[in-house]
Amino acid sequence: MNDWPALLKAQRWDLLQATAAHLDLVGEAILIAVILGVPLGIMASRSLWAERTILGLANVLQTIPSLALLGVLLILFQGRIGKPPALAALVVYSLLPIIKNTILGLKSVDRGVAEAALGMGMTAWQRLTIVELPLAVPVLLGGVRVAAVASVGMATIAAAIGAKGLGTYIFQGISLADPRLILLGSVPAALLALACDAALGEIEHRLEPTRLRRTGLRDVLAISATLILVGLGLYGARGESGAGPRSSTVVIGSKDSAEMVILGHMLADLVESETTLHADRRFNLAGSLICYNALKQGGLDAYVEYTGTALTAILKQPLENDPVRVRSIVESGLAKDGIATMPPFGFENTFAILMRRSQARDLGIAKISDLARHAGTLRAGFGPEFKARPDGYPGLVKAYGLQFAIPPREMDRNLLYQAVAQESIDVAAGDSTDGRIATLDLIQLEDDRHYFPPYEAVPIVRDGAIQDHPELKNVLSKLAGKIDAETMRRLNHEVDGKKRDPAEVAREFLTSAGLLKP
Amino acid sequence: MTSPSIAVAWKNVRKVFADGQPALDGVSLEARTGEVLAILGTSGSGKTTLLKLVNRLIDPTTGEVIVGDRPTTDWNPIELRRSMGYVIQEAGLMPHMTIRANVGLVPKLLGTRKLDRDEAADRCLGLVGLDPKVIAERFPHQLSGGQRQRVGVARALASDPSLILMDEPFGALDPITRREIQDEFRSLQRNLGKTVILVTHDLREACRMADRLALVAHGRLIQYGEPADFLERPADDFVRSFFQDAQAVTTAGEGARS
Repeated sequence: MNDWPALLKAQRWDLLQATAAHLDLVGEAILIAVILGVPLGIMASRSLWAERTILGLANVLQTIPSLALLGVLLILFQGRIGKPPALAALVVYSLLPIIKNTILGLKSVDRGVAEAALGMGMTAWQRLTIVELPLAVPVLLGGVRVAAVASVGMATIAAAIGAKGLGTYIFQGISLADPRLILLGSVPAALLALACDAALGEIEHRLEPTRLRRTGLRDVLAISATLILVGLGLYGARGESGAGPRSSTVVIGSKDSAEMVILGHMLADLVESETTLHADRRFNLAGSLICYNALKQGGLDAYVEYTGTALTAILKQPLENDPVRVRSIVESGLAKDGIATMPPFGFENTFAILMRRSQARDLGIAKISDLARHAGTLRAGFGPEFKARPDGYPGLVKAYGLQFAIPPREMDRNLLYQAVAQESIDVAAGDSTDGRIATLDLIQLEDDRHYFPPYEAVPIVRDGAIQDHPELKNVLSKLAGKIDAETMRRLNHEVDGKKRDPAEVAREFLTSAGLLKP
Repeated sequence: MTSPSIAVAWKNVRKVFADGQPALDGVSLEARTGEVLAILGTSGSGKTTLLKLVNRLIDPTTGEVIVGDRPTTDWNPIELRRSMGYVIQEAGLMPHMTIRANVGLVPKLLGTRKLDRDEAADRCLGLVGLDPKVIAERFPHQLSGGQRQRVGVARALASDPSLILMDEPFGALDPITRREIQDEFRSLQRNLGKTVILVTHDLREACRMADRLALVAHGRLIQYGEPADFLERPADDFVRSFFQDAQAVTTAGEGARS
């Protein structure tokens, strides 16, 4: 793919914004961590007991896996997504190096100097502010530097909970299987880490008390690099707050798959074209629970969910096979949380039993129940999740009485489509809206006994958002019944297969459907 | 003989440290105003403890130390310390401050205006033989060991205290520089009329600089008097041997440090 120049040109402005937001996130986190960590370090340096307690706590916080910490913080922040919980996570991880180096710096003060300070009649406060802290600053800054460099990397993960920054590219790249986007996020992040390291290293060096003061090209470079970083960070901070007053903004979220991002763009585009509201797009959020909690608490106003997922993962209800019944259970269940369910788009993204079109035609197989007669001569392959889930392979075998020639092979679900097309297996379980079903000339067998639970895609919206902007209800229903599985497969393929920008694919569809003026 | 005025008096002082280790066992001693008292002893003898009782870095277990006209325990330790100069080995200068700021530090703590304390700093640097024009804006690491020690003395003089405490002040210097500073300091002390309490293990230093010596060993005062008394009338065999050994060592190689 040699469209790097085009991609960079198209993204250059967004990329600058993302870099600025990233730097702002890291900068604010480090500032807060210093404000909290330095006093804690001072306290810890006063007694062994305090040192053990404070360092012990900071150590424990440091060991919490980042996604788990983000999950906990989302609960603490009552579902607010974006900057606040991301900031909190970065602060938590930055505390340890800052506290540690504060203690180290204070301890490194020469004994003779400390005794002289005491002997000449300094109070404890004067010893701290006139002698100990200034002398500890270079070591302390070393801790800030470690924390800052680590935070630049950590901050990419914050995109999982909707914080702006370079991580949005990385998460988008992962969910769209587009390595270019991953690079577009991670290369600037790495450069940013190096720049922060160099700038803080230079400041550290300049504050070394035994250094001869000399101004040269090196200082000019360091000072200008620092100024650029600070300026970019301040710009990022301004961008974050400059999103417009909350009352005129609707926050649209999406989970982390190409399909969800495309649908998210469609909803956001419709909101912006049909109303005067601004749509804040928080896409590629890590999973249903993050999205749903954010929606419940007001961090998001709307996102697209599958009814089957809402039933099992959110409402914790047993599986149902009747789509209409599932939708009504979900609708009344979500209503209790103050969330309205809009009419479905018109497609399901469920497990699909797939075969080559030619072979299915030759054998006369159209439905899964037809498959039972031929299973003895066919080879199957499934992803590990499908093979293990009770509503996957084990249940399927029971519902249809399947008996394959050899035990099904287990392979990565992304490889299954190719494996069927290349005849290394005959039957596979995939996603019903995957674009490759069409391009590889596979067919989905009809689930005639309604074994798979329905996963209809529906927009779900906060009641509060509808009360504030009644027009939303109509706008978010505009796509009802407009997208069938065939269409969704095609759109997914544009993004997954052809690596096109999901925003562009969404806009193209809306225009061709007459929902958006070209 | 008129009764001399007493600057510092230790009265039957005992000190047992928190770990149960006895440091001083009933020491009574005086420092006369305007004189140099050298407290002499081997390491572990309790000589530094005696000094630190004066500026309340240590409080006595029993007995008392009178500074001015009241026991140190009646003083606010901060005020007490600011009222006297303190010189330690290797000076203990603040590495992040200029020489002028280092010397003016105690006046600054006492609330002296910047202009006045800079003037005092420059004057004191001149007293110890340093040219403020050359070194006032420098940092401690840019000076030689001898210059740093002189700055340490200048710092102790900056607020013009009547009493100066010195703890092995010149121990880290080479023999020639040490002697130079010792002689200069002695004449400076005579000119300014300061009371000085000097802790040292170096007999030559003690004899060269002090009006009176106090020899301590194992937490007890062994002998107190003028230097000549120690040679002519040693209190016991310990004093005799201390003087002989010390003389042997200092003659064999000036500058040997313990």
